[in-house]
Amino acid sequence: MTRFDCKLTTSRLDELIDGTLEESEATTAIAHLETCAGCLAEYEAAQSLLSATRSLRTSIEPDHDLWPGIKARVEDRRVVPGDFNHRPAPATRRLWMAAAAAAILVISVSVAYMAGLERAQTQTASTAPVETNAILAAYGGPAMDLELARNQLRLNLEHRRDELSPETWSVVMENTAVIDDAIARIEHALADNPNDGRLNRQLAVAYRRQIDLLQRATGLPAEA
Amino acid sequence: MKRIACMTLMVLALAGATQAADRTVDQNRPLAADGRVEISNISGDVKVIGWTGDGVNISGRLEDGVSDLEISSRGNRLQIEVDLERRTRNNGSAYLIIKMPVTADLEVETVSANISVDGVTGEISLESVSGRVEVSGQSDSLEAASVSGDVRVTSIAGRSDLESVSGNIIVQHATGRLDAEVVSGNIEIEGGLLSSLTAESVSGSVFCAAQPTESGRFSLDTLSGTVELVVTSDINADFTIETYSGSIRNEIGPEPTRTDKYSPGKELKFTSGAGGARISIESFSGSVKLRVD
Repeated sequence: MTRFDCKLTTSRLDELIDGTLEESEATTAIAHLETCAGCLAEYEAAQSLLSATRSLRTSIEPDHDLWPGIKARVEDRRVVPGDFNHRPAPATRRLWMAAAAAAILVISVSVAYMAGLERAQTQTASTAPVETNAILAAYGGPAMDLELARNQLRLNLEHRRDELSPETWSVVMENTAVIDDAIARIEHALADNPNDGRLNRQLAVAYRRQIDLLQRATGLPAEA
Repeated sequence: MKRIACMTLMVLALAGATQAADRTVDQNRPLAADGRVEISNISGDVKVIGWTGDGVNISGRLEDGVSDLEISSRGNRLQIEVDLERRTRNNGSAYLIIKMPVTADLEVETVSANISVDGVTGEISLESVSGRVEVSGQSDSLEAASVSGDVRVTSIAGRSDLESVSGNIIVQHATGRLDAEVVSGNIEIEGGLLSSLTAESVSGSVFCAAQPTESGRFSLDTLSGTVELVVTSDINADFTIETYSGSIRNEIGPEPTRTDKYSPGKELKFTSGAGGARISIESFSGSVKLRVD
């Protein structure tokens, strides 16, 4: 199986678990899960997350058994070592730095993302009012944890600042700011419409996009 | 006057020395038709061409600052790696032209070097930081990503996964399944027939003039960018369009309605023709335009 199959399968895990994936796609994804231990681990981790979010009230503790799947996924993102000449030691070190930081963020935001989607879907299906912003509510002490995770990844990126060109650094920072701005505007809208399922979904998507960007930036090859 | 002549001579001598320092490469290596080629280069160009010749031909020019072009084989894999001299730290460019078996797999990683691939049908994975990435051909599976460079693909088939952060993604005449994702860059999809399309942006615009297959699924999402979808007047599709604070302009069906009286949200659900294909568009504040070709 290819990395592409892995990405395709894992990107549609929530639909697969929810049973909303089209039959042919679900068959393909399940066939892939049967042959790919990494994706299977991630599938099981996602199932655990969804079970956890279903019983959420005010706090959430990510299942530590999620780590192998997440680690495999982060490693699979293939951190390219600095200039391509000097792979071994720095590459290993950077990989683990990236893995550690990204894993924290992935765990945190996966919880928020899954919870947000879950809650958004619940809202769509039901007219029962939800007390507050779904992601924040599902996340328990969300702002602090998310900020912590985000800051850790940014700190990690800051350590790599000298390795990236000023142009690349600038692009990453500007686009992080673009997503920050989007998150702020959605959160502002959510303050007025806390029960809007679409807004919750968009907020979850924005978080996911920021995760993707920060993870990717952490894994960029050194330029300087 | 004498001083100017002297300086001119020095400049010419330096230019000559630089020219002389460039080296050319022309090597052949064996590789099975189902093998894999892996290339890494920092700066310059990597041009890959699928051919029916035997094995792999590596040609090109190495500038001063490039210490070596390492070519090694491991099983069914051929690795081509540009090494820079430590003293120049990323200031040497290599301009490579690689001819490889059409059906072999390919992986290319660069920093600022541009990547172009033509006529390779195997699995392709391309990644650059600031370089431009261009692909044409009928690859079964394509992954192409850049941070600030544009990603441009033409006449691709199969499954394609394209990403850029601030660069644009431009797709022409694609078939099969396509996923495209940007943050502030734009996505432009011109022509083609797709069974599945996912296009996502944060602030960049999304333009799509490709058509869905009979049971195709399109999902176009943006937060603050604009989305424009161009369809044929006889399209058979079920549309769902939603925006929180953006506008919706529809040239082929009914007007949007407010989602509720207390929020600015708008939505539009309708079926064109007999339906079948499913098209979903969602934005937070970006405007959505649906128009007829």
